[in-house]
Amino acid sequence: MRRRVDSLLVSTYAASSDEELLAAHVAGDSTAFGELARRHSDRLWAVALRTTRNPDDAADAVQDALLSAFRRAHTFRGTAKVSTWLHRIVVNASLDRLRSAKVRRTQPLPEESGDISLSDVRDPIAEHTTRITVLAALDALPTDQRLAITLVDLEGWSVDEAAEILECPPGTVKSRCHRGRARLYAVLRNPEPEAGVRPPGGEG
Amino acid sequence: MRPVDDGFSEEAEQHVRDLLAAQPQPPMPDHVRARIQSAIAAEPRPESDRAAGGGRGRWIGFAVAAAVVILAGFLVVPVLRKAEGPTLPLDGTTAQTACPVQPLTYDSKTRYQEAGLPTQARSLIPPGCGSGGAPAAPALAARPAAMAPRLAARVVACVVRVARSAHVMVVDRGYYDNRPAVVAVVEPPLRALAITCRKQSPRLLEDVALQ
Repeated sequence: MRRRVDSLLVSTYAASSDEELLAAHVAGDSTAFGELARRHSDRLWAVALRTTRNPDDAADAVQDALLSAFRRAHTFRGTAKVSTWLHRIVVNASLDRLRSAKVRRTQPLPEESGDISLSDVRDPIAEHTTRITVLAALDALPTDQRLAITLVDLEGWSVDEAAEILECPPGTVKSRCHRGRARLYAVLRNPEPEAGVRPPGGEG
Repeated sequence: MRPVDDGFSEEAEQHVRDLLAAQPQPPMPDHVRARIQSAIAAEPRPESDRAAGGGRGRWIGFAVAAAVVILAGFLVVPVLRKAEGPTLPLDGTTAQTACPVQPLTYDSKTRYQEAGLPTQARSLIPPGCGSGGAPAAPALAARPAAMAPRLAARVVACVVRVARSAHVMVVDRGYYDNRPAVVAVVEPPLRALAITCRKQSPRLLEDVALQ
């Protein structure tokens, strides 16, 4: 009887939604949260890395955030998507790390950055140079603009979703993105380290 | 920081967006992934999970719960005697007044009927629970059998999939109109559902408001 009834039930989490995995974790399933963490690890990592600008801090931030989510899963009320909730926790953990490492040195723009074309980056060397330059310029942005651009332009969240993650109005996200892009554009057109890159240790 | 260029055009902004979108996403390094997975695996189950009897800390959970019951017994027994209705298994010290945040999962084999579903479902709601202070029917006279943890996880996942509700309050496996089904109370809004959790196609049989 038990075996027959069990066979009627959903037997795998392969096709389960994030919400189902979290509910399973809350109900006592010992593997559901690990699957949830694995599913989102790359995106959470990318956000943490761009926010903290330091791999060690990013690793700590993601670990802190996931353990916090593990413990607080029962408080999740479903008012946002689970992925949004996880990102919000990671962003907050990353900002905490950032605050506790105020004197961290920021990587300067590489010497080879030079002026780049914004429209033609087919050359692999140019692509590599562009990537380094873009990421370095991104790192030099104020944290709020960097976070907004990371979520919207790098990670592909909508403005509304990013607003949920950052717990601010969508208009604020739009404004931060616009100002950040304008600064990036200015830096990428004519890089001047003293103007476009924050001095070492200067998070502000 | 250089002041923002006033002549920043939409075309220029799109160029920057394209450039950013083209950046490869750095995958989480393997050593970080392994470290985090280890940390999660080493994390003690939340108290509520241990109370449900699942996971690695099962026996430790029983021992801790037993110790708590013995130590607190003299204080809480009078209160527990007044409390009615289902409580979280092994959670007798706290569940008599608070509405539990994790689903209660029962395996009562109750035969639910369409006409009586609202009343029967209300009887599953612990005292003090339910959005908007919906009056609960008299709670179940006897505590139904708790569902096995792994089975409970699957059933709750099934209910979440079908109900798409923010909070699953109670789940009970039994029968609905003489066929195997799961009856759940979810909120908001407070409603009772009858669901067949079939392997391939979980299906909603009934959805009735309890307000």
